[in-house]
Amino acid sequence: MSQAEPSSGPSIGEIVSREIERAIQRSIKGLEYLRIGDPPVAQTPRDIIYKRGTLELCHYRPVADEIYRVPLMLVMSLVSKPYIFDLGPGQSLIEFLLNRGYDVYMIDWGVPRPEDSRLRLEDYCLDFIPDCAKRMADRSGEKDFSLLGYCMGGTLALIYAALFPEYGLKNLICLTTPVNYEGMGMFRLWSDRKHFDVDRIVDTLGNVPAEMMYNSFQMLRPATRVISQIRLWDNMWNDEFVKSYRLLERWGNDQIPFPGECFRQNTKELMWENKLYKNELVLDDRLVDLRLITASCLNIIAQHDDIAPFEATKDINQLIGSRDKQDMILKGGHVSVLAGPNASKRMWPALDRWLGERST
Amino acid sequence: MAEQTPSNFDPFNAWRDWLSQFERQLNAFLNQQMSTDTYQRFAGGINRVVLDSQKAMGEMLARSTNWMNLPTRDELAALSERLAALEQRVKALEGTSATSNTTRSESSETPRPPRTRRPASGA
Repeated sequence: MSQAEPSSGPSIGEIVSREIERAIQRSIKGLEYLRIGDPPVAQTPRDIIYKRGTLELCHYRPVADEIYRVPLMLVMSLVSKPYIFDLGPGQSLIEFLLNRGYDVYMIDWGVPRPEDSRLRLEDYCLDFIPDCAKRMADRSGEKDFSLLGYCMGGTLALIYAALFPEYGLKNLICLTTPVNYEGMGMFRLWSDRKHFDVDRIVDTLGNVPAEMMYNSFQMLRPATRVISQIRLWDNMWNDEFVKSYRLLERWGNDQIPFPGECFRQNTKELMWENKLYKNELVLDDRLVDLRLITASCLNIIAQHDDIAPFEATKDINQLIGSRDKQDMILKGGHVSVLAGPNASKRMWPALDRWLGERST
Repeated sequence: MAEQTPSNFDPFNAWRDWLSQFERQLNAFLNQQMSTDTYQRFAGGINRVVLDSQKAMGEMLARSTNWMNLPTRDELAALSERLAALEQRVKALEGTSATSNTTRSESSETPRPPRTRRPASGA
């Protein structure tokens, strides 16, 4: 005669009771959800210290009693708004960094106007980023600085670092940054030159419309759009889930146009020819040679990234000339590695541990 | 004889797990279909049609606005660019006085803590 082992976990009665309670909460909070408008974002106090066209260089007001010597500049991708860095209290990488004592700046590229369709990689890497770096040095009084680039912002930061290795760049952080465009998965397939007429798109439209950019991201996971709504309803009782969902959904839907000439250049020279990876990219007669990068480098890769897949991001440290370099592979997707509850537990403290000792 | 206890099977969580799996599989299937040459030719064709019709529409509108003696979109964009350039030049001319103004407001609003922080020692 065997004795039954005590059961662990809830009984079926408790499960049903839990689900009934959640169903009631869903109905109540579901109505609230429909009633409340978009959540506020980018709430961390900052000063706009420089404006140029649509570009704004922001300096976040320090909150710590003492700060690290080396200031940090965040460089966003050209395809999305930068408030992913500063979603809201408790969900802001910038707030976290300020609390940890970093002196934080950010380049907000703004929303491209029709005349910005002429902007090229040369403008961003040879003009805008160096200009902002200089203004940050003037304001902080420090020549050394750190640069953190997210997604294509990281690509811009890499190119800048290769072109200006001696201009004070001490630390380079590449976050889900594509460098090997042969590994770009679906985006590479869809932009195959046999079928993708980039010249016709840019010549007709100028800037690539925000809707086109949005649709291309949605097509990576076409089923997710519907299933995320089901999941939202299922979790409507969970305030933390709903708060995070609303913030990320707002950002995900808030796409911006992509400057036309930069898009053409990105497609032809990076996506088709993979020139950055091969050290063949030339901007304004200057060769972008990644081996010239000597700054300490942290390459943060998201394990389940379908926008900048592992194959596209993993090789940065093999290409650069830095001695102090580290790869950090973290669980998460392209966005969740940077923002959201998991990011605050994984990436943010890991970044702080690496960057803190290199910011003195 | 002791009764067997109820299993730990949670049908609701099982449904949620199934939903996640279904999402993954459906996305993978659709991505597979969208990576075929046939789909890309189709998407490229749709793109061409949309762009050609947009171009034709743009040319027709440009002719209409010209006829009505109104500026075209390109002309307005060029005007905006010139305004932006003028704005830049004015800012550059304002230069020193703007910097000193910033410093004055900055000293009252923006903290300037010492740059002496060290990382916390590891455990």
